[in-house]
Amino acid sequence: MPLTPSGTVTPTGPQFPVRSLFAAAVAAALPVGLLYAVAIITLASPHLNSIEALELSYALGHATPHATPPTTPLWGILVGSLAITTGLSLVITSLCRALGPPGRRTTLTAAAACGVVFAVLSFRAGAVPPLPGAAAMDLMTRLRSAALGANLVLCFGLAVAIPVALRRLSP
Amino acid sequence: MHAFTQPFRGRAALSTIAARVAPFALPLLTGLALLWLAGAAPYPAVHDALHDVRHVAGFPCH
Repeated sequence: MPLTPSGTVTPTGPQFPVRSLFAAAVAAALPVGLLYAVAIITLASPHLNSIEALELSYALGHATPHATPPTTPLWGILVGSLAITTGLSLVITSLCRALGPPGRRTTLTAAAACGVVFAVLSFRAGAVPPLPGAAAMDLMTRLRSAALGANLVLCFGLAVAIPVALRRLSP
Repeated sequence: MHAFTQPFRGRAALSTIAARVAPFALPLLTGLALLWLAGAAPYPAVHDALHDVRHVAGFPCH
């Protein structure tokens, strides 16, 4: 921080309202979160319900099987997908904006960050545990494919939406 | 003079870094808090409400 001749400190650095950063992150997250929710409802939820109904919930990491197969409410899927999308968007938007004003570098950073997130999510969701019976294995494989598709929607959507929102809303 | 200015420059550098990082810290921490709440908060009610999203995103379960 430079000193003036009188000895006072003048502030430097990014002079922009934090509010615009929040606005850009939320604007990017809203449409992608809705698409993510639709992808989960249409692709993954039927397989998850089948797995729970077949008492294979231990394959999902549950310590104890549910007494009754849970059916996640639609509002839960909507709120959860919006929360995850907004959280990711806030983190990636902050990282991108910290590198400088919106431009080619922030676009590439957003794409790289979303790629890393997709790799982590794919690794986490991709491991199929050994299950008894070909039908259970097939069901689990279908669930993993559905999860990969939904996560692709999430990451690709954010990679496109974050640079656009930053250019429009962040000075 | 040198001994006096060095620590001051260090403090100035620190405050510069703080001034640059501070605007991004709040959105970053808010985002991480949201991710933790949606994906890893160890509350059964939260898990049951967000069950499908948690499993699709590969977050840990109960």
